[in-house]
Amino acid sequence: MKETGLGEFQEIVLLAILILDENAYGARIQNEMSHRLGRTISRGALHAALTRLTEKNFIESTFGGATTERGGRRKRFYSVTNLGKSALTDAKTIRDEMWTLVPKVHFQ
Amino acid sequence: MRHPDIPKWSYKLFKGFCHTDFFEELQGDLEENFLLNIEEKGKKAARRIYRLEILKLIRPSVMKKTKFVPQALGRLVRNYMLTSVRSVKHNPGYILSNIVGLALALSISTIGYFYYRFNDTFNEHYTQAEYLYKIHGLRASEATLGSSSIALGPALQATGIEAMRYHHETIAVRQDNRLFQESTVFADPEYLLSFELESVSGNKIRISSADEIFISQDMSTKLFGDVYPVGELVEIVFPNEKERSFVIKDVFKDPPQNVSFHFPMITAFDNYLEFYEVEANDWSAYIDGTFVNIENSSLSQVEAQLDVLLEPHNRYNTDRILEKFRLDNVLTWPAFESTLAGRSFWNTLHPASVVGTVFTAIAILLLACFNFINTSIALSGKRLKEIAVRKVMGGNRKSTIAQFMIENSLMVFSAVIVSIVISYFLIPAYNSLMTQEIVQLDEVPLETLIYFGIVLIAFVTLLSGAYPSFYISRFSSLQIFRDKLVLSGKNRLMVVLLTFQFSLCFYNFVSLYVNVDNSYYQETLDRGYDLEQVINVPLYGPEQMSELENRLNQHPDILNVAGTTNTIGFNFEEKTTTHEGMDYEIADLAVGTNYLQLMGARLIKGSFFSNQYEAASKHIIINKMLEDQIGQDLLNKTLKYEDQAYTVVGVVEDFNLKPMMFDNRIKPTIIRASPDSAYQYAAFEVQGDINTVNSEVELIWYELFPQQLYKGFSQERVMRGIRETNTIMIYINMFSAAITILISALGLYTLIALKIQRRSKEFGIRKVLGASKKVIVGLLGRDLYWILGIAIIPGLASAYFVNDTVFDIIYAYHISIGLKHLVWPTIGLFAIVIGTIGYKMFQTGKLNPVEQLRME
Repeated sequence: MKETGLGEFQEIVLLAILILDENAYGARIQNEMSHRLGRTISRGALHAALTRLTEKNFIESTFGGATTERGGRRKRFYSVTNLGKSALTDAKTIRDEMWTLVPKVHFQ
Repeated sequence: MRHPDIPKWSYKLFKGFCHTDFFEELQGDLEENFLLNIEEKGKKAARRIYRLEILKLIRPSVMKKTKFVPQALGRLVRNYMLTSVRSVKHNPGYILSNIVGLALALSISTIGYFYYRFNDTFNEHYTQAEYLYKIHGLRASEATLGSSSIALGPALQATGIEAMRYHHETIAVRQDNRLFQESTVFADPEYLLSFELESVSGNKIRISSADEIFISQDMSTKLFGDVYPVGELVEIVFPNEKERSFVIKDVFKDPPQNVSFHFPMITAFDNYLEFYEVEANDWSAYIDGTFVNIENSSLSQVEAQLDVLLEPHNRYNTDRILEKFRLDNVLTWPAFESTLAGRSFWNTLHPASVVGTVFTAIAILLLACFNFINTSIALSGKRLKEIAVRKVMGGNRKSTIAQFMIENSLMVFSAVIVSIVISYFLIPAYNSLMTQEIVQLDEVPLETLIYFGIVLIAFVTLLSGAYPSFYISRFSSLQIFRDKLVLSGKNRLMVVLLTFQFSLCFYNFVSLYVNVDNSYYQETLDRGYDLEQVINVPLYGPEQMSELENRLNQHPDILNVAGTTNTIGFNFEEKTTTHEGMDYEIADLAVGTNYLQLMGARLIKGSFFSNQYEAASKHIIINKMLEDQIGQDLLNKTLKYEDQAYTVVGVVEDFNLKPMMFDNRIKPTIIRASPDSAYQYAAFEVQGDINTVNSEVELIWYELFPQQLYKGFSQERVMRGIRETNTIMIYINMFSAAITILISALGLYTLIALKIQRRSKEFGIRKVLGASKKVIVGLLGRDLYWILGIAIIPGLASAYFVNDTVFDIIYAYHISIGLKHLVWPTIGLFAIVIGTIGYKMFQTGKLNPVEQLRME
């Protein structure tokens, strides 16, 4: 079995970035996650996850152009690296495999 | 640039700690969400969320990585802390008293903050508050009408506007054959959709059927004890003796104190229409209030509709003609609720009481900080050599500042902990004194408290720690070693503040003594009748008297029973009597024939009424005051009033007709006999414990009259208002006297200690040259004499005038404030002052000059 080094929260962050595609920056990711999970995610918690993911080289980021609506502050756009994508697929594969092994009776 | 609505201090805090690499991104994100939240949840909520987000961003990965922090932290833990603890150990008395003073000031600041918050967040408990409006009626020259026609709500509802009616009534609740007076609210189902109320299990309660009722937690405990009462029945008796059972649908949590709506029970509005027999479209019947929720409509739409409804309102209310209906948001309305006509809702605290409390809190906090500053400087005088050595050994100014700042924050931190302990005891005590629970810790979100704490601690540490640290670290080692350094310690501001504080001390001490004395006076004042052993029971009709009297006469502990129309101490009528062509304003008291004897009225001459009403109907008894006013012996003479002539059969000593508060002084009085058919009260004299007898009589009452509320009360109730007022006055004075004397004495002590330090060489030389102990003590005390000498004048004068004025307003009779009331508290205050600093002064006076003059 492979070690993906991906926590559940981080996995969801990665997925949210992928869902948002071109538009993946802090506030949007935060709102997307809050919306999906049905609970409030603090920007602080998201920041910690993003930092960890960057350290692991699962994501990379670039600054966007200056905007008018955020007091002129630039957005930092995140994208998932190939390493990140493979970690995600690995995590999914492991789960899928395990799901197939769960006897159906448990869910009837 | 910061968006103008973003909380300024949180933003600054964030900018301060956030790593520059992340700031642009994070602040941008936060601001974007902030604007989103304003749209979705309103400004207040958005600001709250922003503050919370900042708090949660305080984490290592976001913070600036300064080299200073880890390095200093290592050194700090070992050395700074060690030195700090050591210096505390050297001067435990000073430092402990300072910590206690600061802690007290912090606790009072917390109370001050809660006063501010109480008004600031009034009605914000309701999440939809910004959409909720109350309808008020503007009138030409009279006060704005707070209540509204019962027909107004349905008329608005008919046009699709979300309007809700709210009304409360006093009713009786039956339990185990007894009735309890309570009140219940009748409201439209929409009311609970807008003004949400949470049940104990966390659900939102909803009115769905007219058979159901919701009760508060207090009410639940009162009626059912620890049993969870959902599904149980409550029997309610309405004023017209209709009785009805309601099923308890749920128990709701009490809302915080700073909302307008408080009630023990709530049920459907239709019940009001049914039980009080009112028509829903009656424009001339009034209810407490009509509210609208404009979430799905607009303010202008409702206003337009209200303009249309002005006409039917005015057509049916010729005595209450309105110029216009006005809509007021529930966040702003409580501030002027107290000025409305027809009001039944809780309002905000009077602005003066908020400003007063906050001002007092800040003043005390400032004084405590000044004490702190002076103590720090005074203590550092002893450590000058330490500072010099540090510098010579290579320590720079920064590290010296750090040392002192850390010491000070250590003390502030201890003060915070002590303050938490003090608040733990102080806040419940304070709340129990006030009629309303202002300080509700559990209603405040944790992050608000944390912010308040952080701001307060930062403020206090900077105010009291920064100056001494910078000041002391400035000295050069050379100056110190050469002994050329003079610590400045004039402290004009400190002296002014202390004078002000001691004025307050004098004021509080005198007020305390005067109030205690007055309270004793009120308790022992002769009222002209006996009030300890009499119970009065209001009757619903005179026919109840004979039935009740029969039963009461069988009770072994009831000595006498009398029926009466008026009761001494509670009610009388104002009339005019004529004697020899002159008119006299009198109080008219109609009583049962044996009522005066029962009440212990004291006869001066003549006799009481005969026991037969027929015989007594032409007789009257007057009080001494009336006889004195007319100026002749009136016994057996005739007095005329209400076109009837009466013979005076007796003269009694003056007695009080009302609780002796405000302007209820004794009046010239005529007492006449009232027939059985006019009885409104049954009065009876009991022996033994009055409360036991009262509850036994209550049971008898419900056997006889199960549908009517027993309202018996003891005659001693005339004392209730006076006792409550006295207790509050004494406690408040005691509280402020204790705090002001503690903090002032502390301040004075520091001031003197500082002076001793500064002039120790001078005193040494003076002694060598022959100055006596007395001279030294005199020199030391000069500031003290000035402070106390100046403070005593405004202190005593204000105590005299303020208390005298307050007494005049509150009490019909009160003590006159005399010399003894001023002298004793002054002596007491001097004794405390001498006790705290006298020893220190005396000790300096007798010190061996060698000690003071020797260099090393």
